[in-house]
Amino acid sequence: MSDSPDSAKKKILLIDDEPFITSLMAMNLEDSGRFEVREENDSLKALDAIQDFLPDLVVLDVMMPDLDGADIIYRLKNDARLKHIAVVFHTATVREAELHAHGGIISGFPFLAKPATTDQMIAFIDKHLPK
Amino acid sequence: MNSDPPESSTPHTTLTQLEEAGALSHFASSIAHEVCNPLSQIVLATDLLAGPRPLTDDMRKKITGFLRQGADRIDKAMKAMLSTCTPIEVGMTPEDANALVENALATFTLEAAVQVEKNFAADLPLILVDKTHITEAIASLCANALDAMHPGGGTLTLKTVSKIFASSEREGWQRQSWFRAGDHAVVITIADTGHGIPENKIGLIYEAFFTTKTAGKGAGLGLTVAKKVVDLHHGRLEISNRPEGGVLAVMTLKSAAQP
Repeated sequence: MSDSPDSAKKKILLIDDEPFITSLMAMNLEDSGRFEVREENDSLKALDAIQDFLPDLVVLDVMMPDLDGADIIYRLKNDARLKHIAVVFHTATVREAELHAHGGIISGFPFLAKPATTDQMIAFIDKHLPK
Repeated sequence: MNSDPPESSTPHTTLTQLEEAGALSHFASSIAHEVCNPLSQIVLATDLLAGPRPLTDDMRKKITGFLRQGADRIDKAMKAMLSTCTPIEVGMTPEDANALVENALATFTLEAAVQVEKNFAADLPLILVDKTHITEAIASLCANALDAMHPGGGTLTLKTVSKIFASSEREGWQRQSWFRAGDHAVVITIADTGHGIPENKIGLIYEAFFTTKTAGKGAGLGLTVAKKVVDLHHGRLEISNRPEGGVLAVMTLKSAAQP
């Protein structure tokens, strides 16, 4: 594990109603030494969490109770303060083969199919982090 | 030359095919959701075990728990899926609806914060049902009611009443009603004071794998199976939000003896 200074770490917000997934993903990402990670498991609090943490990138689940991923991204992209924030989807509802057929992009947003390994997730985040 | 379109492209058939394709697609997405999420948990837990983090015994135990829980969820989802796709066989016997509701309720350990109010009619006719399946269907409705009131508590109201149909009453979109004027029936109602069903989701409640419960708390098959069981009895199951809050489930089943 090679730690970057905190100021150099990229801020990643994980929004998923599955706390085990966000908890494990957060630990794995933090162990790379490159990311500062925060988790939000309540979709109704997702926008507040984004506004509070101001992440470099949001990893967003699709199927969640109350607000689904599409609802959240719609609200995010209509919020002048937050619409610049990069978002990627992490979902169980598309197959890897479908994603390859679309170059990993659906409706203009990058998707990563579950289950993804930590290495795949980091490569995906690196590819879509704002330069 | 016959210029009629092939039967398969008639509007009705095409719509049915689209509905079936939509239902299948929803079913497939739901299975993917129920399996790929715990699978993701297993993959990430394995990465953590293999990663650079020094792990205490407690941590290792916790990760093992993540692995076990993920595997259990997949197992449960697959069994639930198989039970949904398997035909239900029913063996009918005359039963007392009040006893069935009591038996269903007895399968739960009730939290102290939950009050149960029973309002059972004393003079109910017997209903001709598969005792096991109908008890499970009632238990499933009770489970949803209790989950909706967790952890804050509330009141679970169970009621039975006899009914004589005044006219053939169709159930919304259904082409036919199983009930005709003069039919005798028993109505079982289960009401809770929980959070209710979001209005934009109420049309989805009978769909397999649809759930408003927290991740991992329910596969979303209880109502699907309950509806299937009630349909097999030529009965009626209606679910709605109560104006005062919570959900009302109404199960109507024909009496064993009809005039």
